Order: sequence, then structure tokens, then C-alpha cells
Amino acid sequence: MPRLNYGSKRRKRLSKKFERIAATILLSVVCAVILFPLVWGMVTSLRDGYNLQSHPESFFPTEPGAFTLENYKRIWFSAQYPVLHWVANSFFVSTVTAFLYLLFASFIAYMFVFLPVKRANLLFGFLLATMTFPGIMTLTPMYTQIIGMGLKGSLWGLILPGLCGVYGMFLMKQFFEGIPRSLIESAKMDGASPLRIYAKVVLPLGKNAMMLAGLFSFLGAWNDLQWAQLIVGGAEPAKWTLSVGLSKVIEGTQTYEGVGMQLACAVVSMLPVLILYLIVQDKLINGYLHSGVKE
Amino acid sequence: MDTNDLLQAEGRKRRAQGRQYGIALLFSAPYLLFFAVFFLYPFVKGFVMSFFRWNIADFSDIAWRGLGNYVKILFDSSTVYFREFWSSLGRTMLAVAILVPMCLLIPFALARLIEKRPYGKKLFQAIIYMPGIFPLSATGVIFLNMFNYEYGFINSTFHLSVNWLQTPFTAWVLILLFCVWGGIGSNFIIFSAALKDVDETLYEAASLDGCSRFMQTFYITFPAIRRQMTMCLFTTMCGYISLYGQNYILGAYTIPHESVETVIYTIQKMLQGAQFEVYGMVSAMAICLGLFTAALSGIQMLLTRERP
Repeated sequence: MPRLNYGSKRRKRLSKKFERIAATILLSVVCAVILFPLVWGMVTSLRDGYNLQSHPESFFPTEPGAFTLENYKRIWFSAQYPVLHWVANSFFVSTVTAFLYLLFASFIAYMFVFLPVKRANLLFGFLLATMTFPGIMTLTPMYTQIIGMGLKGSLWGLILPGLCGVYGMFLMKQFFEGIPRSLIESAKMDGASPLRIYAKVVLPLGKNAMMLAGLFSFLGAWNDLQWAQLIVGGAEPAKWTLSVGLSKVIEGTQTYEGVGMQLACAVVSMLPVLILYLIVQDKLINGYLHSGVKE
Repeated sequence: MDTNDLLQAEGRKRRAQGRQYGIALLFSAPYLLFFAVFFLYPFVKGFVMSFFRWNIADFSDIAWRGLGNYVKILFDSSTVYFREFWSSLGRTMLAVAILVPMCLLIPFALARLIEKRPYGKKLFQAIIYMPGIFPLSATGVIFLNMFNYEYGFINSTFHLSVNWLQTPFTAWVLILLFCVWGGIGSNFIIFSAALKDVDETLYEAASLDGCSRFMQTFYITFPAIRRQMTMCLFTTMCGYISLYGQNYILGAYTIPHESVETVIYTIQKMLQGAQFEVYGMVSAMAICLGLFTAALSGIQMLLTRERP
């Protein structure tokens, strides 16, 4: 009887092991497929146009000389596609949006958690309920409003509407609720002002949630295509963001020299996101889970 | 304690309360200001505009329409708005109908694989989530070039001569593929977290009772993660109802071009166009779509709210 038991346990362990290996193999295939377009894009952005023309079926350049930074050099100094401007614009819009959003939204989240006045929860419920309505409902009036404010064609027309998102505020509130009340109370006892408590207690402890909310805000601004097309898409190329610029480089006929340049633009706009992702990937995935809601 | 003291105490309490309100207001004012200016006001104004003929170039050309705009869009088949709205809605809904099952089942299958604790689990998770974080226009440009007719990697490697980007059908195949590629990450993460919480002993008990793996999925796994499934079902649905960027980039060369236009695409096109008198109409169209989406989100909230 004991021997039989041992045997079945061993069989079970073996089958577990087999399952692990099978899952590893399957997932490797899936991940290779997922990564394929990204890697192809990066490799081809480093490839000479003529080499691509003669050997489009080859994943890599067929000769070492066909590896080139020419595409990147060209977009860097291109008058038609001032990519440097786009990078600067995108960085400006995304960082300012994320910074201001974090500031304002963390203030009100702090208020909801630590300065609960009467009917504050009513306000919070209302803000949360507005998340039901998709952005499309405010698109037209917001557009006419931005035109009315004279912000069409201005990067501020991209930044300001990005400051009223509810999701990031909700994330921070959830997280702030986990901060021990006793810390706040003892800071109050010491005569610390609310602003001081915010800066010295809540910010350091709520860092993770703020990073996550900031990241979502940054990515939202960086990746935005639709609104940016409306606001800066009609302006001169130097005013475009990377996303808008990319939606314009594909216009017209495709040429072999064009491929490398287009892909170089794409890689340039993906790199900052990739770097951010590699740094905060763990927090992003975990934070996403603990927030309990999707965007 | 005499009355005077009591009154003073009362006054102090009031003042403290007033001060509390003041501070709370200071903390919430910046956010609420932006919320009012860039959400509440446009939200209300959108409804108002939808009842008018609204010309943004000429303020004298604004006239009350009542429900006229809605009637034209929804019922008057002689107008271009009716045709554009319903045909783009049809395309959008077809895409949603295809995408939603794929964006639920594929992430579910992948989450089941991750549950088996493969080697390099974290790396796999990171890769599966990754495509969705990049700008659509960037990854779209890569797909566009990969599927190019002449020099695209796919055509030349597999010796095909499919004009992926020009034919409406293949362009849609590409768009859907692109959506799945970039859109499974978040559902995948949610499912893999949900699966972690499923009681292991249930599976063991079921297999002792002779329940096959396949049946276990139906009788144990699905019921156990029902809440997350419902949530993902609705968020995915609402997400793809506002499909736009994918179609803008990958449908760039499609002929006829209307064949890739979704509702949002139609709205965006009208806003970017040179017709300045259609803003009331566009607003009405956006509200039709928006209320539909909001109703879906409302149902989702009712279905997935935590029961005590």
C-alpha cells in the first residue's frame, strides 16, 4: 500500500513536470509570434532600403553593409518630417499631463481619504459614475470649446483635457486608504498642517499608486491619436506629436526608402514606452490587478 | 459651565468645521475645476448641441431642431447621416462580435498555461502584456509595412500575392488580427490573477470523481471566475465599440475607404472636415453611440458589483 502511494505521487509529480514543460513550449511559441512584428520593425528600421528591395523575404539584411543608421539620421534632419519636434512635443505633453494630473488628482484623493467632510463620498460616487460615459460623448463640445479658447493647434489643447480623468484618482484613493490612520493622527498631534501631512506622510507612502497613475496618464497622452489629430493634426508639422506624425508619414505612396524612415519613426516613438515598461513592468501588472477595475 | 461657555464651544466647533470645509475645498478645487471645464460642461453642452443645428463658423446659423437630428440619424434613410451611421455601426458591431470572443478566450487559454507555472513565467507575462502599451500608430505602421503588397515580409516570405491593405476583406482581417495582438494583455492579466484564487481542492475532487480536464474547465473554472469574465466581457465590448486608431492606420490604403470606417471614424471625419454646420448632428451621433455604450457599462456594474 505505501509503495503504491509513493508510485502515484511520483507519477503525479512527473505529470506536473511534463505540464510545466509543455506550457513553457507553447508559451514560447505564442510569445515569439507576439514579439515578431516588433522585432521585424526594429531590424528593418536598421536596414538599407535597396537591400530590402532586393531581398524582402529575408528577416535580416542579407549583407553586413546593409545594416545602417541611415534611416534614423534621415528622420533626424528631415524637413518634411521634423521628428525631433515630434519627440519634444510628445515628451512635453505627456510629462506635463502626468505631472499636473498627479498633483491635482492626488490632492483630491487625499481630501477624500483624510479630510472627509460631509457629503464628500457623494461627490466621489458621482465622479466614479461619470466613468460610465465614454469619451466620445464629450468629443464634439470639447473640440468646439478648445477652438473657442484659442487652443486649437496648441499643445495645451492636448494637456488640459487630460487632467480630469477619474481612473487614476480612483487608484490613488484606493491606495491612500491603506495608509495607517495612526500615522496621520500622530502627525496631526504634532501640529502638522494638512499640506505637510500630504507632503511628508502620504506622498512617500503612496508612491506606488502615484507611479502607476502617473504612468497611465503619461501613456495615455503619449499614445493618444484621435484627440491629437483634431487639435494639432491640422497645424504645421512642427506642432505634431509623434502619434500624429506617424499617422501622416504613411500618407502618399510607399517607397523603399520610405519604409526604413517610417519604421525608424515608429521605433523612436516606442522606445521611451519600452524603457518605462521595462522599469515598472512588475508594478504595472500588479497595480493593475489590485486596483480592481479596468480603465 | 454656563451658557456663555457653551455658546463659545459651539462657535469654536463651527469655526473648526468651516475651516475643515475650507481646507477640503482647497485640496479638491484644482481637480474639480478641470473636471467641470473639461468633462461636466462639455457633457451637458453635447446634449444641448444635439438638439440644434449648430454651425461653429457662423453663430447666427444656430437653430432649434428638437429631436430632429436624432430622427435623421436613426430613421431617415434618405440622409447621408443615416447611411453613414448605420453602415459604420454595422461594421463596428461585426468587429465587436468577432473580437470579443477572441479577446476573452485567447487570454483565458494563455492564463491557464501560465497557471501551470512554466519556466520564465514572468517574462511570458511581460511579453503578452507588452503590445498594448505602445502607440497604436507606431505598431500599426509596423504591421502596415510587414503586410505591404510588394516588399512586405509576409507576402515575399510565403510567396503570396495578397493585396492585404487594399482589399476591404483582407484589410479587416489585418485590423482584427492587430486588435487581438495588441488587446489581449489586460484581460490576460485579470484572468491569471483570478485563476490563482480558484480552490485547488475543487480540481482534485473533480478528477477523483472522474471529471475530465475539459469538463473541469466548464464546471469549475468558468463558474469560479465568472465575475472577472463578465467584467472583461463588457469592458472589451465597450472598448471595441470605440474602435478607431487601428482602422485609421491599417485602413489607410483600403478601397473603397468607407469599408473600414467605424462610428468613431465617421464622427472624427466629420469633425475634421470643412463642413461647419454639422456639429449638432455629430453630437447627436456621438450621444447615440455613447448612451448605448454607457448602458452596457451600467449593466456590467450591476452584474459585477460585489455582493455582501
